[in-house]
Amino acid sequence: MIDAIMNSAIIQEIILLAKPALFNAYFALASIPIGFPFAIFLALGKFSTNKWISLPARAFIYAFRGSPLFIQFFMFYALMLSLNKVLWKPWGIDEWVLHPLFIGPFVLILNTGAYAAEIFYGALRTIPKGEVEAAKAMGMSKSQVFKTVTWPNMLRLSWPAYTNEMVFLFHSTSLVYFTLPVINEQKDLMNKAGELFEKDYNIYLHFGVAGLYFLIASLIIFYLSELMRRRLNRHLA
Amino acid sequence: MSNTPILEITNIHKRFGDLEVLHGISLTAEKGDVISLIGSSGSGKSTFLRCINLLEMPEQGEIALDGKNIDFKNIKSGRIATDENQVKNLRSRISMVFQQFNLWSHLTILQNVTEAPMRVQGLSRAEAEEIGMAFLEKVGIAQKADSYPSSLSGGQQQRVAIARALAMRPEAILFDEPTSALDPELVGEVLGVMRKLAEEGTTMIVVTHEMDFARDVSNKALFLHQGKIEESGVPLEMFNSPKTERLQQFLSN
Ligand SMILES: Nc1ncnc2c1ncn2[C@@H]1O[C@H](COP(=O)(O)OP(=O)(O)OP(=O)(O)O)[C@@H](O)[C@H]1O
Ligand SMILES: [Mg+2]
Repeated sequence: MIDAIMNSAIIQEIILLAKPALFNAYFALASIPIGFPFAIFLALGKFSTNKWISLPARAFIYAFRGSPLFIQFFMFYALMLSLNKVLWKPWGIDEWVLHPLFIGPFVLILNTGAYAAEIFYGALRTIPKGEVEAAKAMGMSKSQVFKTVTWPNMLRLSWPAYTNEMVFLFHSTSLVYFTLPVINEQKDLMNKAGELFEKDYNIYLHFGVAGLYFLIASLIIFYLSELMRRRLNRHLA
Repeated sequence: MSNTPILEITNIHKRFGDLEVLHGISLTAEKGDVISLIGSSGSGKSTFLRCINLLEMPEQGEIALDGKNIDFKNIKSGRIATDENQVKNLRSRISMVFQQFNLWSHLTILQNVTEAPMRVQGLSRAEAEEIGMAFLEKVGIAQKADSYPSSLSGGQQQRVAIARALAMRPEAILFDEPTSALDPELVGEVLGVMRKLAEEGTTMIVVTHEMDFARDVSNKALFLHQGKIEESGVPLEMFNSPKTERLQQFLSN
């Protein structure tokens, strides 16, 4: 009985795609923790009244929201390659910086940074002005106002949209090996599913199970996000 | 015993773009003064109050706290305080209560009153909570210490806002129409707290439309009209025998 289940095509497929799924997980887990603070800096930059801070932040956000992610991967890979001779090789870090396990998260961080920054920026604009003013009126410094009012409100207001961004980011990890070279059998879900598909054209099995992994990852993100959402909204219960 | 006034505000001018809304307003608050600012809508009462703690920056005029002037300098975009610490010091010693309460919605009632003393004055949590609870008790809302603002009525929220202002143990409190956003049946509880504070000698500057409060509680009143002080004096005398036609009109409405 157990043998029969273990031998079933679906279980075999799940086992086969487990290692590739780790690559997608790696890309997401390497990007989110850095992309998040980066996005907050960008959002605060765009929100700044100083145009020398605001304009570069706006330009960056526009460029990365306004162009397709796979072009960003191509461009960065090309850029990194062209700097190889003058920089990476002499410094002895060429294998490292040209590796998809580096460029992948690097571009994803820039991309999610821009998208999430726009989300946080939108939240910054809707923070209750009266609450900010009350904090100022008590003699708080800018950073104290930020900690007391801006940060918690920004997080709460942006959380649902940021949850979406994390899920999109996870789905976007499949673009890494769509655009960058695969090294040493390091394949992600989409590569591996595509490779298996070319052997037997069983689209439902291979892409179905790959899709299942994405669904499970999304479920985990949704679940953790919901816990966070409840925490951020506990004052509204 | 020195008799330096707590606040001495001189010749405040404030404009928004091309519109000058304050044309040279002065005010002196001695310890224990309760000063009412009255006047019709748009006369500049809120703007003046907000200039006192520099939530609005007046283009001209001086602000002295305990006889010490805030230093200003002119830059291209207007006037700014020379020393940001003077502004923080001024604000931490002159509290403010707003028309819309402006409680921090994600913090509990107790956290609302302990936040600024901890962050700004560096009190420990234990010290801040002890002081905070004492003031929550004073405004009669200690039993709600662990609730969030959204679960309180407007009158209760405003009393918390007063406790939050008191918790800074300020030298004076500015009130901007503290009862105007309240349902009529809730106005009394807030005015009651303010009366109590006045009796205890708290220095207060109150923008209000509550003429009974202005007459009975305050010892000075300023009547603003179009950004100028049209008439000032002892409220009872002002209200019983207004000298200017404008105040007469205002009082008869
Ligand atoms: N931030 C601002 N930008 C531009 N104009 C403003 C601003 N704040 C106030 N004003 C204008 O300044 C004038 C005085 O406003 P202010 O709010 O001080 O009046 P007020 O006496 O408090 O009135 P109310 O009784 O309605 O509260 C009004 O003409 C108002 O439109
Ligand atoms: Mg007003």
